[in-house]
Amino acid sequence: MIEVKGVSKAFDGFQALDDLTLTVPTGAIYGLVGPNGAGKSTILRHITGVYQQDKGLVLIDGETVYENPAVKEKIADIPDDLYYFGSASTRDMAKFYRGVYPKFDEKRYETLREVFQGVDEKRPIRRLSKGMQKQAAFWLALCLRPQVLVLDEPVDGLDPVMRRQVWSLLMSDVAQDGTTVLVSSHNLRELEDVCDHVGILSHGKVLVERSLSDLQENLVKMQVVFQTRELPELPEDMEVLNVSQVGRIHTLIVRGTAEETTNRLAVYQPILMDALPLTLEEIFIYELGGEDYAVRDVIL
Amino acid sequence: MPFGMSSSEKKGWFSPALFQKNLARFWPLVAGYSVVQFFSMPLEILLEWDGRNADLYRAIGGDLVRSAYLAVPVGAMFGLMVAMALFSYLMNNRSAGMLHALPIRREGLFLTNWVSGLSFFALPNAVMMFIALLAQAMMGAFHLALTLRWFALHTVIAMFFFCFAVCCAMFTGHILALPVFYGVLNGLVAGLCFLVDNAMRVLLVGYAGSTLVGSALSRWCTPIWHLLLQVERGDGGWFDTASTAIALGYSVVLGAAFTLIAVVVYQHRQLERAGDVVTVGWVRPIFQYGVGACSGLAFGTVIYENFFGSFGPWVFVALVVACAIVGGFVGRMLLKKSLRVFAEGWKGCAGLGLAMLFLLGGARADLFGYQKWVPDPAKVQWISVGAVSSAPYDDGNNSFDISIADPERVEEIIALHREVTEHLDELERAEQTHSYRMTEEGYEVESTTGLRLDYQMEDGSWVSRWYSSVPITAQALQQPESYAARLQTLLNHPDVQWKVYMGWEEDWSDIEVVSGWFENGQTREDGSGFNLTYSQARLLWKAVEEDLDAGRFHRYLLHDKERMENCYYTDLVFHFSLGWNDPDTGERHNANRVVSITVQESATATLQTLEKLGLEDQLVKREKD
Repeated sequence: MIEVKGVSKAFDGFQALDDLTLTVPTGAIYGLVGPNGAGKSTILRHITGVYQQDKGLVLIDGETVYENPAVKEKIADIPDDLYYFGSASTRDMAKFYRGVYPKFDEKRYETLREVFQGVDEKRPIRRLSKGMQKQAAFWLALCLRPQVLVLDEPVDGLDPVMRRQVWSLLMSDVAQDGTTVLVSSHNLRELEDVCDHVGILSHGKVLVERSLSDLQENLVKMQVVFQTRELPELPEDMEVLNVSQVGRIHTLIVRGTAEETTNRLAVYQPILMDALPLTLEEIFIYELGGEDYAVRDVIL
Repeated sequence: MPFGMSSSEKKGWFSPALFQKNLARFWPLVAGYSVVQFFSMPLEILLEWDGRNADLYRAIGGDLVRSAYLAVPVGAMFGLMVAMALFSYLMNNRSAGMLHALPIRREGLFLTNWVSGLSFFALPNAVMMFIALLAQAMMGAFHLALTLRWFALHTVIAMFFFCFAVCCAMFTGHILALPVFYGVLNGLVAGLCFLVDNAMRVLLVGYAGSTLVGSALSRWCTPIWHLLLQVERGDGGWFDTASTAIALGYSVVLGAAFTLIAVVVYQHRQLERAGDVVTVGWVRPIFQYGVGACSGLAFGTVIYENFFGSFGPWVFVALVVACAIVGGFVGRMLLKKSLRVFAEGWKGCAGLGLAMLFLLGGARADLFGYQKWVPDPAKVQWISVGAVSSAPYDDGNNSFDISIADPERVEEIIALHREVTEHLDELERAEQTHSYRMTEEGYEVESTTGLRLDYQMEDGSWVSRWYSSVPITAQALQQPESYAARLQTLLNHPDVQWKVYMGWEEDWSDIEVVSGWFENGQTREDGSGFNLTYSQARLLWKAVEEDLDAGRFHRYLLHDKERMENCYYTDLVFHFSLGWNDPDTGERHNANRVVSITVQESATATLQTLEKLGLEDQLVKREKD
């Protein structure tokens, strides 16, 4: 389990993380989403033990990560901006990792060669294409047999087939070994398919952190045609995050369960009413709308 | 690795995999170093095989001593290059992230890279030493001690420079800043001493210069200079054991200190600072204002000396302050990696400018009391007076550098010094126009002399003042309270005259005149003089002694009428033999000394003796210059 408790980090006066707290259960695939500059990469670097927090705790299985090799042996990470030694090939890096990570799985390396057959393992990694570099990174990371896998924009650059392949490998590790996966991505559609937990970051804080199903249950999109063309006055305690209207159809984003919201709107005797689940992307947009981060209508 | 740790705690203190990787990645550096080292020593020895030197043993010894001199330049260059290679990962966010995500402690990363660096020097040098010893053995000229010395010097000095460069690397996150830091810090102390010394020369009248630039402190804080001096110190081409030991000890102790500092800084290094010129928070203001202050002194001095040298010290102050402010902004630009730093940085830079103005302007305005300072006579043990130019030009002028401990004279000299400090403006004007002289009717009425005063204080400290151009006027010489008159009076005290002519008297005994020369020309070689007999020389010396005791030999600060009429061209030159006791060892030595004294009208006893000896006709009267 990854626990981040009240972590703060400032860079030259800029507060990158502000008392951030999140919890990733063991065996979960946790999607970390947030706008640019929210602090996603920064918190990932804390979780991999690269950065030292100004305040707070970063724990994996109850132990601090920073300067703790025993914990860091359990972690594999694929950062957004990959780095390998100057002229090192995939094979060279595998040899290096073999000496650094005691659990490096040689047999798996051989097995995965078939999966990543497009990667020329003798060629310097930096000379490979971006997608191939990502494949090499997954190949090496999966051979470490990590208990915690930290991924920053992991499938960026991979083709759709390879994306599926990679997610399939990851989910297989989660299922078989209980690997905990923390993944940061802007591809919410993809995260929705693989994540079971989601945390939304904004301004260095976690706004919402729940299982995906809880998150989806807590917000509902209601499409309603009322008796009148105009939107009637809704109850004050009903938390409506967004209202839009096309013709006579009103679309309301309401905080609450579908059943509860349907019951409350039924008193207006609508002509038509339908409760729809929100996509992760919609949840992201409407949750951040309250944080003054929304799509603005700008006329150029 | 610390003792008493559990196996999990022991993890990450050293990584053999990373060590091997370093060797594999940076072998070209090792190869380059090996080639340089091969050319510097084993090849030289192997080339002796052709038999061109008859004394092969000595020739190989010479090769080993000479090639040891290269330890400093080669070590300084490769030490930096190896540090740059091994710790370059700290200068880039991606590489820093990758290395620090590994299950290796920071200390482990440091130690692994540090050991890698040391081995880059130790391994090639060991190979070179082995080749050299093998060659020597085959040639039958075995120099084990010299070869070991070569190995120790080259290895330890290169390791030292590596440790120094690593320490610099911990303070910066920019790969190009590292060689700059390394180069600047190698000469910072000596450079700063020089700049401050130079500034004080411009600002303070009477500033005697400091010995800081060439001092042991400056040398010890300037590694490349200190090591060069130690390694190159030898005796007739053979090495000096003590200086070798000093060089090695210095390198080991200072190298260890730099390593310790580097580890501590690395432990607290903020990796997000990769790419920054300075990574350590508290060093950033020191860097910014240090760049400002050093730029101010360096560029201010260069501009002043080349363009505004005649504009006076306040222009120098203004230039230094302006350059310091600009330097402060440049320092901030480097820190912020932006040219737009005026709005946020002007307060700090203005503060720096004010601080520089206070220090330099304060020095110039004598807020710290340097220029007006004269010592309390009770606290002075003795005074050395020197650099005074006076006539006649006999040994009383050439050797005017005397030490005076007599309390009465000490008070006189301090009164003279006090009077000088009352006329600093005149002295400064004279310094700016350099030395000059004015004459009226062929006689000098105005000129300058130098004056150096070194006080040995009762508390053991030294205080010096140096006035390069002290104006002397005929008018001032007539006023007994003027410094000119005081100085001339001092020069004419019989005890001072004795010291001037016979300054070495304190160390000698059994002095005896052995010969003499009657000289009428500028040099003895022009044939315008003749030898005195032994008895003539003895009689004349006795007369001179009497005149010196009576104060009848005079010294003059101006070539005025009295000096012209009183002094002859003729000099009497006496050769003495004497016994001399070495003050250090107490041993007695025999020595010879020569003293020339210009004959003067006022030296009546000498003139009478010359008359008695029938030599008065040989005297040549001085005409107006």
